[in-house]
Amino acid sequence: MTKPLRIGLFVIAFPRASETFIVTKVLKLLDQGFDVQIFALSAQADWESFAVLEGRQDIRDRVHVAPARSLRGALQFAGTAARSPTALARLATHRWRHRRDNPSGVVAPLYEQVMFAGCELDILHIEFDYQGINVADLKDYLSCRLLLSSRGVFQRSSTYSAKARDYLFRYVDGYHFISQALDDNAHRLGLPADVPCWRVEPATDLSLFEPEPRALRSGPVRIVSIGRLVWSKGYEFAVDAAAQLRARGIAFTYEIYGEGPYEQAIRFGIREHHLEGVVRIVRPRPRHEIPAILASADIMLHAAIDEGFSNAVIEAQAMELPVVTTDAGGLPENVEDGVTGYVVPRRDPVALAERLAVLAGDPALRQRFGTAGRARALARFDLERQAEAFVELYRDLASRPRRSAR
Amino acid sequence: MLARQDGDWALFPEPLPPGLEVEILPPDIDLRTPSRTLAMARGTLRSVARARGAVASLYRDCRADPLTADEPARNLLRHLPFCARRRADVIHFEFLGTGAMYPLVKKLTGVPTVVSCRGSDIHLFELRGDQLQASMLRCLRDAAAVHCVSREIADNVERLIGPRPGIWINRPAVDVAAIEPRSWDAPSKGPLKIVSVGRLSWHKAFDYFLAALSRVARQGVEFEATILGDGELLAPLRFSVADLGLEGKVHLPGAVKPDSVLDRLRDADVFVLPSHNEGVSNAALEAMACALPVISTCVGGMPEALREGVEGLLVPPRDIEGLATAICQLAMDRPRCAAMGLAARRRVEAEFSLERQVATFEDMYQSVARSAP
Repeated sequence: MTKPLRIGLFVIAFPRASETFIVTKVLKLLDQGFDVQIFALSAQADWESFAVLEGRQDIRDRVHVAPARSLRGALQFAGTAARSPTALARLATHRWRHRRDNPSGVVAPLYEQVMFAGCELDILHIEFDYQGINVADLKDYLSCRLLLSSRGVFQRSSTYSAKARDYLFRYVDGYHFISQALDDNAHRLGLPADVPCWRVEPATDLSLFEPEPRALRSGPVRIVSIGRLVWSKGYEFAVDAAAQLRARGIAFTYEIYGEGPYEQAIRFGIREHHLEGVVRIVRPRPRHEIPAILASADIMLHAAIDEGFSNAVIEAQAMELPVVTTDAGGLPENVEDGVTGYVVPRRDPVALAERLAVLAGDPALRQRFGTAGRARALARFDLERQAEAFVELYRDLASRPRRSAR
Repeated sequence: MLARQDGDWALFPEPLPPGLEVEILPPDIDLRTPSRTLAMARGTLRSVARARGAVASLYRDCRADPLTADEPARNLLRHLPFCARRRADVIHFEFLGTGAMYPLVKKLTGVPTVVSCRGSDIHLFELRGDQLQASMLRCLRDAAAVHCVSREIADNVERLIGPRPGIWINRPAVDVAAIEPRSWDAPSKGPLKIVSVGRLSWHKAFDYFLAALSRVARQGVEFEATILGDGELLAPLRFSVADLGLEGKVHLPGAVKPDSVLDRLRDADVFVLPSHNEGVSNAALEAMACALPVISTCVGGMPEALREGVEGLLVPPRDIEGLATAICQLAMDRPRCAAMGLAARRRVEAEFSLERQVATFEDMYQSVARSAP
């Protein structure tokens, strides 16, 4: 029997309520006989959100947390130093050799990365590629393959310099993208052609999003948006579209569930259009209430200027809700235009309003799109299936040679 | 003597009438700027030493007044600089938002106050919390004079507190004599050079501007646009420039030195102000002084600064297509650009001079001081 593949997952914290997919994947990997170790930057975990992890001491033992900058963290560091002085010395040598790779120098990264001392891995998977900008070179210390996941933030944020990108592209052995749009853009940004790439789309736990038959009801069409009130979600254009919709004489309500720094801009738009009472901003609801909110709506509107993929849109389709969205980022791959919803150009309130009007006036069409949306979610965005795709991905990557960093 | 209180004095270096003695009161406590906090602490100790009785009664007022009772200690500290100070004849709050932070000043000093209403403070009034709204209303009612930067702002003030005497419309001004206009002698050719200046915040609606520019580009109209300014939306707007394929056509250099702004204005053919919300834009007035035509949304006091088809073009706010059409119109008609630019310069010379603004301030201060009990 061959040795089990050793996978290291580098995450912000584990487990996190917002990252159910990582928990599902870990369970699946263990189930399939992989050796999984989890490296977390912070101890801020949500164990109580996961009933499935209750009593799983074996999983807790697989989580390694970077030492905090506190007395306790220092003791943790000293403990590693006492237990495995050679491994630590080797890590320190590695950090010294790569001192130019890391803007924070030698000591701070060594402290943070002490959890890797003496580890042996086949694959180090950095779940959010931007988290790799201090860590990627560790693949040489670990003699493993480096897998990065691109979920959007890194490519579009100007916080990260071209230098940081080149550093990642130099060390990476394989790149996972949640959308074709991110894959294309990464190559535009200089990702070498010899880096193998995989596309595994986001997924959600569909058992939490079971639609019930929608009762026929009269009254205004109910439009809903769910997502933080930030610039990238394009809510100003969504409010402009609502104004157009009203000008067409369509009876509707529009509820935006979220909070965030862009709230004032959105409220100003609502007031300027005199849409108070029609468009409402509602405090975000806990996750378990989302299915009911989606169930009582007729259309989801997602007017993003910039988006990775959008789980909110996946969940809407799972709940048989037709979606009107823009072509930002991975959204055209998420929604099938003319089948589960409509995809229109971003920053175009008139186009949004036109599509909203079509759906608002045609309950049968909404139902047809809804049914197709559920089918699409089942076929493409199922959490179990996603975990299986990762199992395949890891096996594939492990069978390929390591790239040598240049 | 005039005491002026404002948070960011450097932002509004409005000229003062000569012959006035002016004292700029220390701003509110701000722990992020230690020097300010230190100055504040020194002033506080002195106040307490000199006027212990006044401080004690001020504290009682802070606890009793509904507008200050939730944070009596903080409000006490805030009001202390007004306690043991040489008596001013007028206290001028440079922003309604600042004035609202000192609801007890009138009772404490008995000195008549003036408050300036400049734009967001009034336009966003309904979006504020109840407490801040109440403080703003008291500040407006307590003031002996309310300075509004436009007729539109004055109308809104009257909508909030009803008609009252002592509302002064004093529009912003530019130092026209010190600003050399651009020359229109040689007809402008090549890509239309568009410039805009402003903080990169949602108020200025540069998202809409970029969406409009992408439509202009799709029409095949050649242009080169520069947006001068810094702010929280710099990174998102740069993202949008790339996302819309406008690299090389739209420049976002971030913060620029104030003196280089004039050079950049003179280098342009048209100034665009796509804002959701404005009082009267000083940036637009400067552009007009440079003899640039202005395309502006017809928000706030902007229609009082330029007339449609005379000094520039007015478009509805939030109207991407309308803004794009206006830009295309001027790109196609350079002689009209020149005519409007020259008209803009004349308009500013005639109606937005410093002399007029200073004289109106002087009248306002004198009238307030005269009417004081």
